[in-house]
Amino acid sequence: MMSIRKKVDRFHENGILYIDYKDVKLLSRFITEQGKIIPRRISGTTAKNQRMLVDAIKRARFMALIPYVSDQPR
Amino acid sequence: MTRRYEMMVILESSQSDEDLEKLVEKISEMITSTDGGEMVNVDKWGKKRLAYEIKGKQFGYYVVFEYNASPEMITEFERSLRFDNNVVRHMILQIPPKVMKLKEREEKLRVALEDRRRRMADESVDGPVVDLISYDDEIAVSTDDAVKEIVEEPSVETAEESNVKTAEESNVKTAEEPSVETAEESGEEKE
Repeated sequence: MMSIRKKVDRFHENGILYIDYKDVKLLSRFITEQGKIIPRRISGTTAKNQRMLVDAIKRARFMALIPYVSDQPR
Repeated sequence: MTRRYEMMVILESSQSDEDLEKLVEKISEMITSTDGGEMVNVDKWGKKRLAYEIKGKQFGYYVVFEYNASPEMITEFERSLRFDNNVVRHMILQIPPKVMKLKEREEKLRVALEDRRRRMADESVDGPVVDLISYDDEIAVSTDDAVKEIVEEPSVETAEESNVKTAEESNVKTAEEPSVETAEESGEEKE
């Protein structure tokens, strides 16, 4: 099928219940080099957590903690 | 009727430290002077580089306020913030009671796991100490077993708190289980 490896939700694994927009270090793991949000099917996050994550990312972007778009040299 | 709020502001960073201090004080005042306003915590992040340019500036002075206030004063408050030239960005969030509980639960979980880790380190002679919560490592041990152990263990904290802990524990247990099921479910669906 799509992927044989069983994906675990990274938040559940680490016992994180609330995804905070202030946690830049955590958030930056879920955005690409270009600043795009990594889709669920790739990151393996649960739907509920992905929703919380996306809200957090959007807030962090608004407060200039992470960029909206970033052109990193490949 | 007061609610819990969290506000992050970005202040004009090219001012002197005193001026910035005064600004922070002024904002605190705006909240505490209202009826039901109470400052819970002020966290000054200091000068940080912005992820993108705002009003031609590359840096900003970040402050996070956590406070209780009545909902009526919020509109007024926001207006005054918007007009202040020194406040470059502000974001006020309401922290609903559900989230408060989540945060508390997470904190308790984190503390409990840390204690467990410390105890493991003390007791074990050979065995490796597994880092149960780490942001840095990609490898993390599932917390399911850890949570179950904590729930079944006799209370580590004092007797006064044991009642609170039991309530929290049962919450933690039920909170964790659905997530596990969903993760496994979605894993299986893909296969």
